[in-house]
Amino acid sequence: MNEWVEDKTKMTVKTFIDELQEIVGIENVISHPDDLLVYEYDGSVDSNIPLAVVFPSSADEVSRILKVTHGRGIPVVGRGSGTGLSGGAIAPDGGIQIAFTKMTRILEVNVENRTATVEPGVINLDLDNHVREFGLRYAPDPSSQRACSIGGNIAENAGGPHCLAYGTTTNHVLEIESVLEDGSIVKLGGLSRDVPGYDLRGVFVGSEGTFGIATKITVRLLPLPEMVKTFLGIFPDIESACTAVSAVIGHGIVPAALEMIDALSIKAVQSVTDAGFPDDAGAVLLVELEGLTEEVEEVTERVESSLWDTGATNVLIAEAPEDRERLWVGRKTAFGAFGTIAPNYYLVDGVVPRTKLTQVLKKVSEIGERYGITIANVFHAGDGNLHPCMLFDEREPGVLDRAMKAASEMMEYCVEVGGTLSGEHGIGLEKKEYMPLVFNEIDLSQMKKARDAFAPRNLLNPGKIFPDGESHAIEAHRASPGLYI
Amino acid sequence: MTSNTASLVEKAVGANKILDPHDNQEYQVQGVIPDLVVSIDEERDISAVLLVASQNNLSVVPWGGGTHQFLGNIPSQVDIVLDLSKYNRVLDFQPADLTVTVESGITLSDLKTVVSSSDKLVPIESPAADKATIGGILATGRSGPLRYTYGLPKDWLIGSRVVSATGDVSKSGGKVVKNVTGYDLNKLYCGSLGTLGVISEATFKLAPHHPSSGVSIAGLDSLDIACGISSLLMSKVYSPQGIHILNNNGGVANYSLLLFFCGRVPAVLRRVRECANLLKENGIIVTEQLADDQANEMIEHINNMGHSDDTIPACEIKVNIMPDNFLDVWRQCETLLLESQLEFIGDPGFGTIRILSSTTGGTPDNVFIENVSALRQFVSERNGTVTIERCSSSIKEQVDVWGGTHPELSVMERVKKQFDPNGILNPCRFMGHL
Repeated sequence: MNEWVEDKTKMTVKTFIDELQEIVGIENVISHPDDLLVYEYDGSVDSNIPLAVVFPSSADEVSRILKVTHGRGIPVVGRGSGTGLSGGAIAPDGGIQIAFTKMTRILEVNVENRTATVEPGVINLDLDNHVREFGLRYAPDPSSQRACSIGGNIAENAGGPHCLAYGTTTNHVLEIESVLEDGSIVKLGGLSRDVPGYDLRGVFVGSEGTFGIATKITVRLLPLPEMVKTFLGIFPDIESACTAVSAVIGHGIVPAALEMIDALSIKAVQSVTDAGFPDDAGAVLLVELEGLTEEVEEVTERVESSLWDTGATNVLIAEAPEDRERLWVGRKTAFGAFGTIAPNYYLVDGVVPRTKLTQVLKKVSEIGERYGITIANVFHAGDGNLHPCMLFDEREPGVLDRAMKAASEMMEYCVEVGGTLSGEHGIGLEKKEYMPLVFNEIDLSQMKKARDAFAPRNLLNPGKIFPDGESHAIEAHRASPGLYI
Repeated sequence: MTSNTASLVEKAVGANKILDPHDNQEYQVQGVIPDLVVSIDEERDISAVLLVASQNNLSVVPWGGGTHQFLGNIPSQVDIVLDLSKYNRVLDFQPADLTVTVESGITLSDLKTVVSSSDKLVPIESPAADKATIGGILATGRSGPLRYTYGLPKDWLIGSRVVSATGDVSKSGGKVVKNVTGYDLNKLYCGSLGTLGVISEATFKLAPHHPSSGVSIAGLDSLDIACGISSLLMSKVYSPQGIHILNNNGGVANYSLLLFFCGRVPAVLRRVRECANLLKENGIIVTEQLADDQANEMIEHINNMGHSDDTIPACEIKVNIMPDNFLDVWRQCETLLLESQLEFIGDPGFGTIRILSSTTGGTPDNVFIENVSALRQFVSERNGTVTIERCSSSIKEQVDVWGGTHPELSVMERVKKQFDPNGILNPCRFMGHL
């Protein structure tokens, strides 16, 4: 417990809030418990109420806020859209959140350099839609891209279906203006793609807000492909669909996206939108090819034969934009659709080598049965990033505890077969106690060295990533029902 | 180094792993001859040497193939060189998962041979691929003519084991192609020139082998036209996978434009055809068209410019810049660097210009330093960087070859302090003499 938390008297809190209001204006600080309720959560199952939430409009304001918090030893958490699923945006006791809903400008699009410079609160899909007017796109496309922010994407090194071919956020960020915990403003990386010096930009991406608060980001853009073709492979069961994944990759084809949707997820999706997934399918695979017409055409036959040869009962091809869009809407609304099955879900984000998918999914199913938890699977099969989604009603006594135990076994198994804890959602609060499954003390101490170089007082998003034992432990609370759908 | 510490190293790794001192001259780092060279063939040797070194404040320089030891500032001290070239096994190759794990002393050529046996590609390029090791390539961040498409080695590194300055072994990342479990320290180690730790093992994600290659070559008299057409080519869906502009000292045309292609056969054929048509529409004729083996040889030739024994330059400068400033910066380089026989190798798509000089040309050191400083000012105003990769030791003694005024330097200093508090790893070689 830090000194600030111990000395959080009414008077010191009021003085502190006054200081924040002086920087950003009275209307841009909230501290009444009723107003703070929505900032108690992100997309995970944990919650903790922040002391205040501040809405800055510039890097200068962020800097001044952090100078105040640094002087007082107050923890700070950056918050984008709060869509994270690992508890990364939850404030520690006595900590504040800096929310970026007022820093949402796309500052520049440079078509020749294929870059865009944005403020951290810009929504991922808004950026992508904006640059498409110039024949370009922003490749990382998390399923939450309609809501999640670029700043949050940087913190989590967000992925998405098309990261199979184009890499995750880290592969698309050139330069980050960041405010460090003492309020100093630094530029990390550079506008050219090969910048000498330690790659501070690279280690910052995915640091879950513990290194600094990004206030301006320049990202790389990619040209729109000439041809896009999306295959819908329909399979009688998930095992044969997994075999198809290996077959496609085994043919030397790395599609732009390769996504798996199981039977339960199909039912959920089809109940809210007609994505064209057959109700009686055991699983469907979405395979998307992109590139020059010749590139796509040349491998089309091989993709089709890979799907048929591994047991597909039907293979449909969508080429028209509206047909492809329908399939992708189905894929990306799956998690919302789970609300038709149960009011709560808990998502596991393990990654395994592609060739272990069948084995791991069998184990996931067995674990779910053993704990009496319904599990739906919608995931990035091409890069082995599983998303077993446990569906439950938290009002049922003991069910959340069972779900947590099931998740724990799933993560352990992912690690056992050569995989890891998280592919794109981050460690946050949710998985930090599992870090020793993957990393030993020396591994973790090296990571802390990097953090201490950026944030020696550990005031930025403290209590995340590393197993408990550090200062600023968070006594987070498991959430009440109905909040995640 | 005292004979006592030498005997401590010997005790730690065994006398048979210490090279004959007569060979130490071959391991000189920019003129600084090490006291001891240890031949490494297992990770615990790296740990053991670094433990002894840290306890006795001895400086350590990791050495792969020794192909890029000219990079960086002159080390303040070289007590021990770790020769990792015998630490070179493939530890785990999973073609179906598109991953490979290797010891850091394996050469790029050997790694490419192993993965190509299963029709896979490790999309990393480096000059002197038959000598350059994976550890060295990661530490120096080398790239090649296809960098516009493939990026840098760090883009393909998904996991590593690194031995710290005190001999502790830690890992980062893993063997899966997508991973946000913990900080991505791999990024920090790449390009750090061995100043934060010694890379012991590396795991890469792989790409499918590309069955076809091509190179189109055209001569041009105007740099403006070369840059203009490059920009136009890059805006097309059929753009090449890389473009280079070379100046021709005394050649038929003033500049050569080289277009690189790789991929599946029909796509390469279309790209080659459409690019040639676009050039023709702009009055430029492709004078030489190479395919497959010949194309690969040409790409390799460009990759090795300035690195084969008969072409090693006396001076080499690397400029990184955004594509829209490429022409202005090239012009400024020509204006400020007065040598008549400068060789320019420009990559307008990625934004890199390498400038090589075969002689020092009689330019006094102070003039060279002033000119580079002026160039640096010009380039930094355009958000780029200038690094002196090779020059005389007398110049290196007077400057920081990295520039030394990088805005992030204070954070870099803190990183160095955390990872190597006593400054024993490649001391003074890196930016800001870290």
